[in-house]
Amino acid sequence: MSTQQAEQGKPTWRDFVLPPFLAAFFDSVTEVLAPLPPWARILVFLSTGLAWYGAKRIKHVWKTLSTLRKSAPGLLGAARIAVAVMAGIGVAFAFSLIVDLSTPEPCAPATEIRMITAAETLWHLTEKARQYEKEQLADGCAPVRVTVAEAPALGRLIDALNSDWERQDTGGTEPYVRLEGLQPDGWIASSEGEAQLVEAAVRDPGLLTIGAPVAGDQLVLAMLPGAARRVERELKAAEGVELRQAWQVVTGKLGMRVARPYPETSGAALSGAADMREAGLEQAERGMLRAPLPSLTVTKLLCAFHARRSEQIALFIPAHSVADYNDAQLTAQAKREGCPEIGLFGSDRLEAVRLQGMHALDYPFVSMRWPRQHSAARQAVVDHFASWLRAHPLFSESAPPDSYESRSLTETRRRLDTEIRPSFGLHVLVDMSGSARELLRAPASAAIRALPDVLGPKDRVSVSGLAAGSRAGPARLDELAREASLEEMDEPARAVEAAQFRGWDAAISAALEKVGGDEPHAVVVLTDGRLDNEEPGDAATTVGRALQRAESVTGLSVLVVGGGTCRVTQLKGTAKPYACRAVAEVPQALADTVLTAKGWR
Amino acid sequence: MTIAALVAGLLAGWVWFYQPLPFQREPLAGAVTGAPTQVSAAPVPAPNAGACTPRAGLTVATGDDISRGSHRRDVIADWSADRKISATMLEVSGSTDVRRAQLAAAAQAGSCEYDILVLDVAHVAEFAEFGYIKPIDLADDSRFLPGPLEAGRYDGRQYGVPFAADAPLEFARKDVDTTGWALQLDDAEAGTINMLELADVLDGDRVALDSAGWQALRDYQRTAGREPVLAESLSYDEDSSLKAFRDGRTHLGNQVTHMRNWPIAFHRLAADPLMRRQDGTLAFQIRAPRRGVLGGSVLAVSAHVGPERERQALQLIEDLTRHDVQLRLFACGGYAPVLSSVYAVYAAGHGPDCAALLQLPRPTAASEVVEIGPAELKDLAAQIKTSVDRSVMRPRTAYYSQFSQAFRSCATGVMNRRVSEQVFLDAADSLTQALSGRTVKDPPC
Repeated sequence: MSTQQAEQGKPTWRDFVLPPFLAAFFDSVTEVLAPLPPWARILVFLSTGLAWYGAKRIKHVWKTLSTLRKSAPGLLGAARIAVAVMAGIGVAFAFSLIVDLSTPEPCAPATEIRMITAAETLWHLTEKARQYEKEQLADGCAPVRVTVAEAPALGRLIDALNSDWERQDTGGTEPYVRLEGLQPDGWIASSEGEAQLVEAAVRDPGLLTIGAPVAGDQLVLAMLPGAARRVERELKAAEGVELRQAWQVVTGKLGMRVARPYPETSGAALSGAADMREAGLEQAERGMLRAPLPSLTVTKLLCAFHARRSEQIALFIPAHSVADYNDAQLTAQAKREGCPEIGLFGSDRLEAVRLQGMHALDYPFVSMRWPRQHSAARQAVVDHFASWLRAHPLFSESAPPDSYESRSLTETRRRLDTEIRPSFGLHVLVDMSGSARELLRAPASAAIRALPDVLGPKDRVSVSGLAAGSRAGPARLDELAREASLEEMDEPARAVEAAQFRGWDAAISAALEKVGGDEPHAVVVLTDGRLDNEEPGDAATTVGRALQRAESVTGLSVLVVGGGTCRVTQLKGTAKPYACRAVAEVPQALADTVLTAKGWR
Repeated sequence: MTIAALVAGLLAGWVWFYQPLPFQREPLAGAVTGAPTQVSAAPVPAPNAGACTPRAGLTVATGDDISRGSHRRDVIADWSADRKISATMLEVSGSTDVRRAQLAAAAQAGSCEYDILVLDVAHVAEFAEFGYIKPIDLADDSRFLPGPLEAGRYDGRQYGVPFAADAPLEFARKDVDTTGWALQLDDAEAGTINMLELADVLDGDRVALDSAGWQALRDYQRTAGREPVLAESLSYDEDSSLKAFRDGRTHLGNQVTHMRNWPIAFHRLAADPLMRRQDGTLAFQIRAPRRGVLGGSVLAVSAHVGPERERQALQLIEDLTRHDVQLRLFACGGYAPVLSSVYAVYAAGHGPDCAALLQLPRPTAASEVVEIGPAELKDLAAQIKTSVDRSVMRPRTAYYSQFSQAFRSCATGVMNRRVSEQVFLDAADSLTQALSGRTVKDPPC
């Protein structure tokens, strides 16, 4: 119809289409109407239409409706009105729908999944997690988000699982607790044996569920190419060699040394220790305490090896770690672990000597069910991720086994703790000068409480406070514990927390002369200090000579906290082991040091 | 009849057109049978008023207490000593990203283990939007600094009560000639913040990528108007950069004379005798930068606590934000205060040092304890206040962490000379989508 008709007061198509059209436009672009229920929005449509055209035109609309009704008798006329109104609503709906469809809905919150695994598997799990998240995208929205972190060492893992994932730094006597890092919904163990060992030690039987393997691998002897050629010549073949034979050739005939992480802190290494025991290499296991490059994890071992790159060292590590080293995949993890080699790994590629008869590292997916954090919906997502990992193995070189190669590691661990490892003596000296008060009081106490993680039932610990009464005055040792067992660490920890810390830095050389004791023991000094108060002469010589004179002291380790530095990096006048490093996390650093010091004899 | 027909048409139209269409229905939650199929997000449980099992006493979930002397722990312990209900500080993680994941996962599981969450201000929007925390009615919000107060607000409501303000400070050693800067450019939230500051791309809740930003990132080592930034910063976080500044050189031997870091670094440096001259004055100075990114933390109430515990939690929050508590956390612990009154006290020259506050004996010649004096605290407070006033907020979106990762990936690529200017500018769309939680292109640059 024309403008003329509209001027004559007759309704036009615009009278029916435009009002709801405009109302729908406002509906779609205005958040005000969006929360309203549909019936309220229809009322707004009609009101908008009526307001737009004014009171005069209401009569036209009414007249039109009446015309429609009169155009057919009775219900048919009424039906025409109803259809006309529905058509108007339909136009409004259609327009609203078009606008809504072109405006994406906000994404729902992604389900947060928390995963932990060993250091050497971290990169692979992280990559797979990113791939999984990408594949699950729907309309650009991520329904799942996976955070990956390093699993704690075996002992701490068990303790954490038995205490609601809390660290036992405080003995329950302080109004603060710490979590043992990211509290996992899932853990990729190194082997089913490791998972079973943990499961057996956990008090809540429903906490863990050991699932299917998500990767398959094997331990190998990794070495530089030159060493690999010599080994191959002696063995006549790289494949199909048994562990015992290979070990004897490598360490006997070729005079090389084998390095591996500590079985106490690395699941892969614990599996390797079981392999050694089954291969009749228990005597060799005893010698592993003096193995080169003592390390807590595979990645730390590779970092230490990278600094030396010796053809005289073979690494007993998972095969995929060899590939990771060669492909420089470990750089980010190495930096996190404080590896000083920031550059790429792999400048000298490692080669793997594969071994026959080794048990598989079968990487089971272990689900966690925390009583106070459980939801069936989140568990379904965790299970989905586990299934997806099974179809997308962590290491592309080998598929996960169809089932576990079940082997218990419990006996291996027991023998390590009680029979193979000799007893170990430790003396911890805590710097109690005034400057160390706030830097050391809490961390040193926590570190002493955490010592049972790395101590065996035969080990003994003494703890003393170290300070001088005045600047450059004589050193004073305040005994806080003498040859305590791992069950008795609570008392010295509390004593450290209650100490005054009001003295001056004491000379470590003087302290070494006072530590005494008949049994061999290592000395670890926790300090914020600078070792610049040794007189006469230079500190390296003074401390070195004092260490040499201390007959029962097997070695000295200095841990510097609070951002201080090691002013003495090497000693003179002694061949005994010495290490000094600046640390941020005292409990972890002390644990590292203890494991290293166990090899000092 | 006409009216009846009109009503009938309205009802029929509503029923017919406003029922959800098949393709608009919500997908089923991810049950898995056999081969993996697409998964859907688990629905977030509604606030669970008392049906879950809380811990005994209130639990304050926070990051590591990095204050000098664990004063946050002490403050909470003192609160417990005066009350029938105890409060425990639970240190979740020193990593902001791990902390976010842990708290979000617990909330999604409907857990009421944590009563009060100490949230990074960047995560307030996410936790508020998805119902992990409850809104709080502040009786008197005028006592707080405007920036931190606003950072705890979302969609017009206050979800987080400011607990610690954080705005960058520039540290400069006085004892060596000007050479190099240590920033925090590693792959974590601190890296995002430093990169946002370098590129200067924040514009309200938007991120405006431009050529100047690309240039600033690409040439980060020699940005005009400042000393060169050391390449080692690419692997530094707050602790490692502080260590390099304290040592005066990086682990590669390059001299460090300047550092950008948070205010808490001041106490850690000033308490070190090595950072003092012979006359006891500081061997470094601080100043507020021209513009920085606002950090800080807020106290939020978990959505899953019951009414009684909520009341107790609000009481604890009120007490943790009292003038005397904020004063102590600042003077003794190094946490930047959120109350205007604390800054006013120091500006007027009446601000106490820690020994005076806690009535501790002063260090004597028989001790090598180094105390931070009132004059030093006065200067620190003034610089923090200036920096807070000049700082800008990161985009307030429920998907900030996704945006942060995406932006950091792009910015790192620019700094490593792998991302051209055009690719960087083209990433604006991807980054905008990331602010809405959408991944359009992976990686975005």
